[in-house]
Amino acid sequence: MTRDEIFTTLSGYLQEMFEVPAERVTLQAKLFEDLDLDSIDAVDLVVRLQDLTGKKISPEAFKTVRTVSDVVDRVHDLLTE
Amino acid sequence: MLLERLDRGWRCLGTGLFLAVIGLGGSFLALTVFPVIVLFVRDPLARQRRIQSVIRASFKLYCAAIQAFRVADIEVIGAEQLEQLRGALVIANHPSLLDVVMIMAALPHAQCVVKAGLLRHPFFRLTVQGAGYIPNDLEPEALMAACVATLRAGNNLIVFPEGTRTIKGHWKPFHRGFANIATLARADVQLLRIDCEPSALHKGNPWWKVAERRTVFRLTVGQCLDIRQFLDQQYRSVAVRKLVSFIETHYREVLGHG
Repeated sequence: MTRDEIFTTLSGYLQEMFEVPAERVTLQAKLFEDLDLDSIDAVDLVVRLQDLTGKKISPEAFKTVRTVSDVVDRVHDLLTE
Repeated sequence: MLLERLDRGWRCLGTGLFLAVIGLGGSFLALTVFPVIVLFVRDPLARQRRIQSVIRASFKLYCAAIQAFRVADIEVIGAEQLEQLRGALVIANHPSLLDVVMIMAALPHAQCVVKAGLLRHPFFRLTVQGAGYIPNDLEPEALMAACVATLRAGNNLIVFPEGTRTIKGHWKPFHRGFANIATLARADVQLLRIDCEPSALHKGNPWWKVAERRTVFRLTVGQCLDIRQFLDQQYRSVAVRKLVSFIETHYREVLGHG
């Protein structure tokens, strides 16, 4: 998957799982402040991303994630590992 | 005129007195009754139940005394609905300091989330630990797990979705935490409504500024929502958002907020 494809997929998840309006999902958007996710939502998102990548994501690796772009990077790293 | 001033003076004195009683009475129980329970009831669950019922009885007595001394009127509507309640998430609006006292007097097997400092307090540590109250400084996931565990054990967990005291007309958006707890634990949600007229013991108001009329604190037991009607979603996170918006709308309507 390219970064663009990852972004599109992630954007879809954010819309269907957390009712985030599509226009608010940008690379710079902060998950907690701008998109109104909470830490329990983040756990659900990690589970969903594990299904997507087929790889285990440790909660620690996700602790430093702040923005949509951070998530895209993390997923991209996992897929190219 | 004189009578009115006397009444107001008495209520001011009485309010101070009753605030002192919470501190003194709490400390007294924490140093006498609760250590005895902890010493003699070794099974943690049985100990929890015992401490919970002493706290409930004390708060019942406290509310009855406030009423008897005519410091304030306290009414509970539909209290019998709570007697059989087990493993439910109990939520309420939060106008005053007395709210949690009124709820804990009316609710069996009551559990709550407390300031973490109480678990380090020399007097209250034993009681708070023994009662199984949950400290508020846990990491979000650990806090959720503790709340789910207490609900599964059959306790009723009290949460104020506004997060802090709010008075009429100053609406605060509900936090999602309570809905996360309810969906993770698959616990039913018992709605309570608290009215406090005229306002007393509210945020930002010193306790001695009592209103012209005697305050009526009224706790109304509302419906108990079956959580399953909200869980019928592909994602738990969507169920949470539906639950929050349903309950927020409900409270706005019954409390007459804009």
